[in-house]
Amino acid sequence: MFSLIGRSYLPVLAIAGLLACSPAEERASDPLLLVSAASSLSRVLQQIRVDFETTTADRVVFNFGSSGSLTQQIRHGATVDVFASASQQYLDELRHEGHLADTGLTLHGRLVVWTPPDEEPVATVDELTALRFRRIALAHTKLAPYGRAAIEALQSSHVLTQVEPRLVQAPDVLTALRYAESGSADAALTALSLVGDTDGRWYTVPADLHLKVQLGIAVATGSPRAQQARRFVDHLSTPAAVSIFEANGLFLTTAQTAL
Amino acid sequence: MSARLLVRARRRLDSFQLDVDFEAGSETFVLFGASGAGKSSTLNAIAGLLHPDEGEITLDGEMLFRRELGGARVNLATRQRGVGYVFQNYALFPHLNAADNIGFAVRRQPRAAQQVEKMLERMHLSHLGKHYPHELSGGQQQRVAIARALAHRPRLLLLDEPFAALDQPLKERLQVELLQLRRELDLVVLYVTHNLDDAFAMGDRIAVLQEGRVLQRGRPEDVLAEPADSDVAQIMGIRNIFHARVTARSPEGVQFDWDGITLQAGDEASVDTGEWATLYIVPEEVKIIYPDVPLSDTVSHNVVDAEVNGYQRAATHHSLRAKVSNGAIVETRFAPSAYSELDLKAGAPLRLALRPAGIRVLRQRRGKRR
Amino acid sequence: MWAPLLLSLQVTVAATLLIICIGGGLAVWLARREPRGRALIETAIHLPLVLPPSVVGYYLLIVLGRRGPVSTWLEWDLLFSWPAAVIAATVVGMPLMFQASRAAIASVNPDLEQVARTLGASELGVLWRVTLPLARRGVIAGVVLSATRALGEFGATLMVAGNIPGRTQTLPLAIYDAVQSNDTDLANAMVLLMTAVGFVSLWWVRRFDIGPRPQRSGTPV
Repeated sequence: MFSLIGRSYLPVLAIAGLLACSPAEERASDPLLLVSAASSLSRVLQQIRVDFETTTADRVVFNFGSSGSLTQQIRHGATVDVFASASQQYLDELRHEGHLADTGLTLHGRLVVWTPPDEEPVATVDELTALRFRRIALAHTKLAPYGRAAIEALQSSHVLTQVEPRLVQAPDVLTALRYAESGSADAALTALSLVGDTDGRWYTVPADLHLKVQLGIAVATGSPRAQQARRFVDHLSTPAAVSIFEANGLFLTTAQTAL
Repeated sequence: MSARLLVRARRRLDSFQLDVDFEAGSETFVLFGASGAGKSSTLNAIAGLLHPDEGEITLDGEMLFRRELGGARVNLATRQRGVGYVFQNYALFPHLNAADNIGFAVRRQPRAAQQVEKMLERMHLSHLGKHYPHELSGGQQQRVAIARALAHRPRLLLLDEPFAALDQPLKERLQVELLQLRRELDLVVLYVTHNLDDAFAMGDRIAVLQEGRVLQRGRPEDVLAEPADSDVAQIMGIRNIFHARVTARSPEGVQFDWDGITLQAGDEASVDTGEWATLYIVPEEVKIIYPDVPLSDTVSHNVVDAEVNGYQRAATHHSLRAKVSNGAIVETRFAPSAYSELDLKAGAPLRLALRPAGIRVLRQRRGKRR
Repeated sequence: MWAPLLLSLQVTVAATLLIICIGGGLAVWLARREPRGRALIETAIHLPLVLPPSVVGYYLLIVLGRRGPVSTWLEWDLLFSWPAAVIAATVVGMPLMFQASRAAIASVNPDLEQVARTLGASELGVLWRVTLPLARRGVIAGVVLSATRALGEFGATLMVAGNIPGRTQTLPLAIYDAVQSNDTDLANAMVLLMTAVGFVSLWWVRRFDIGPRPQRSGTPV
C-alpha cells in the first residue's frame, strides 16, 4: 500500500551485504607500500614492482595520477610512502615544504618524435617542417617537462616559428602520444619511456637540443612504513632496476640512498 | 445551551487583523461572511494549523491554546486536539482508496476494519470502499471527507464551505444527513459559508464576519430581521437600505425626510434631529394597498405612490420591486397566495404602505471605511 | 575488473544512503519552509552541479586534508580511503536528489498534509504516509539520478580518494587507468560492464516503482 516502505527486503539485504563485505577493510595495519606515481611511469614501475616483490616480502600498490594532483594530495596530508613525479620541480617543492625526505633518486628521460606506422619516420627535428605534418601533438608547454623540452628542441633546431601554428597541445605527454596514435595528429613530440610498446616508429631527439627532462622519486616523510619505503627506493638504483629503467627509456642521473 | 467551544483569538494576517470572539455549544454554528473575512483562518486557529498571536481556545473544558500576557502558554499540537476538519476541496488522499482515507486516523486501533466498515455504511458508501477519490462523484467525495473527519470520534467538526461544489438537491440531502449526524454524535459543528441559504439551512446560530471581526451573533432569522448595522445588512445581502435625514423626534418614534417623502419610523433610535441615518425597510413589512379598499390601521402610515419595476417568484415567497415617487426602488415580499387578484405587471401603478414597525435605523460604523 | 566493480557498488550504495538522508532531509526541510538564507543554502547545494570536478575535488581535499576540519576536529584521516570516495560521490550526487525531491514535495497539496495532522498524524507520519507517497515519482527519480551520478563520479574521487587498486580504485578510475596504460581489452570490458550496470539499475528501478499501478491509473499526483 505504501510503496516506499515494504515491497521487498531484498534490496535492503543486498545493501547490507555490500557494505559488510568491503574489499577495503585491511586498512589499519596495512602492510602494502603505497607509491603515488605519475601515470607516465605506470608501465616501468609495474615491471620493477614484479622484480622487487620477488626479492623481498614487501608488497607494493600504486596510486597513479597526474604529478600535479599527486603533489596537492601529499601537500594536504594524504598518507603515501613514496612519490614518483614526472617533474623534478614538484618534487623539489614538496621536499622544500618538508613532505619528502632526501632519500631518493633522479632519472632523466629522452624526447622522441613519434610517427604512426603508415607515416614515413623523421630522422631530424627539422623534418617536422614538412607539410605532411599538419598537426603535431606535444605535452603542456608550461607544466609538463616534456612539453618544455619539445619547445626547446624546436627552438634549437630553428624551426619553432615555422612549426608553431601546427602544434597541438595536450594536457600531458601520454595524451599527446594518444593524439598521434589515434590519427588526430600526424606526429607527436613525446617521451621515449612511453613508446616502447607502440606500433609506430620514433626518432630520439639528441640530448643536447634541450635541457634534461628530470624525473624524481623520493620517500615521503609522513610514511608510516619508512623502512620498507627506503628499501623500495634503494632497490630502484640496483643494476636490475636500472636496466629496466633503461629498457623503458629512462636513465639514472643520481641516487641518494639511505644510510 | 451551555457553551462547549470558547474561541478568542487575535492574529496579524497579511491583509487584516484577525480578532474573533465567540462560543458555541452542541449546535451548528455558522461563520458567515465574504471570502477573506477570516472564516478559514478562524477554523485553522481552532485546528492548530494557525497560531494566534494572542488568545484562548477551549473545547469541553480542555485548553487547546492559550497565549496571553502573564498566563502559562498552551499550544496543543493539531493531532492532539480531537478536531475533525473537512476542507473546502475535501483534500482526500489521492493515493488511498475511500476505506483507507476513512481509516487514516484509526488504522492502528483495534477493530479498525469494523469501524471503517460501519462508517462506510453510515454514510451510504459501503459499495465504494475500494474506489479511489478520482473515481468518486463530488457528493461521494464529500461523504468520504466527512466520514474521514468523524472516524476518530472528534468532539468538534470544522466544515469549510463543504457544499460549495455540489448542486442544490444533493446539497440539501447532505445537509439533512449532516444535521442528523451532529445530533447522533453530539458534535459541536462550526460551519463556514458565504451562502446565506446554507447559513439558514444549517445554522442554529450564526456569526457574521468582516475583515477578521465578528460583527454580529445570533439566530440567523434574528440577524436577518435585526442587522446590527449597515455592514451586516450589506453582508447579509439585505436590500431596502436607504439614507434619510431626521426631521423630528416624538414619543411615537422618529420622523425622516427621505428624498422628499416623509417617513414615520417606530424605532426608538438614538439619532438627533438634523442627522443622517441609514434605514432598513423590512420587505415583509411593506404592504401593497388595494385600490378600492379603505385604509386599515395596518396601512395607515407612510403611504407612497409607486409603479411596478419587477416581479419575482420563489417557492416560498414572491417579491416585488417597486419604484416609489422619489425614484428609489423598494422591495416587498409576501406569500405566494397574496395579492393574486392585483395586476402587478411592470409599469402598473400602485400604492405602498411602509409600516413604521418595519423601518429600522441601522447604526453606522465610523472611522473604519477606507 | 571485479574488485573495482565491487568497490564502485559499495561506494555508490553508501553514497546513495547518505544522499537520501541528507539530500532528502534538506529537500523536506526547504520544500515547505522559508528559513532566512534559503536562497543561499539552495545555491550552495546546487554548486557541485556547475563546478568542474577538479574544483569540487580541490575543496574536498582542503576539507578532508591534514589541516582541514575533519582531520583536526574529528581526527578522521579520510584521504585515500574509500569513505573519501563516498563523500566525493555524495557531494556531486546530492544536487540531483535535492532538486528532484524538493520540487516533488513542494508540489504536494499542503492541505493534504494539514488534514493528516488533524487526523492525528505526527510530523513523521505526515511525511511517511502522505508527502512521500505522493511525491514518490520525483523522489525516486532523484535517488536514481543521484545514484547513477555517484556511480560515475570520477574527478573529485581521483583527487581525495586517489586511484589505489583494491582500495579506492572505483570502476571509472580503473577505466581511466586502463585507457592511460593502453590496455584496450580491459578498458573495453569495463566500459561495457559500466554501461550494463548503469542500464540495469535504471531499468530495475523503473520497474520497481515508477508509473502507476493498474488500479490507480490516472492518480493525480
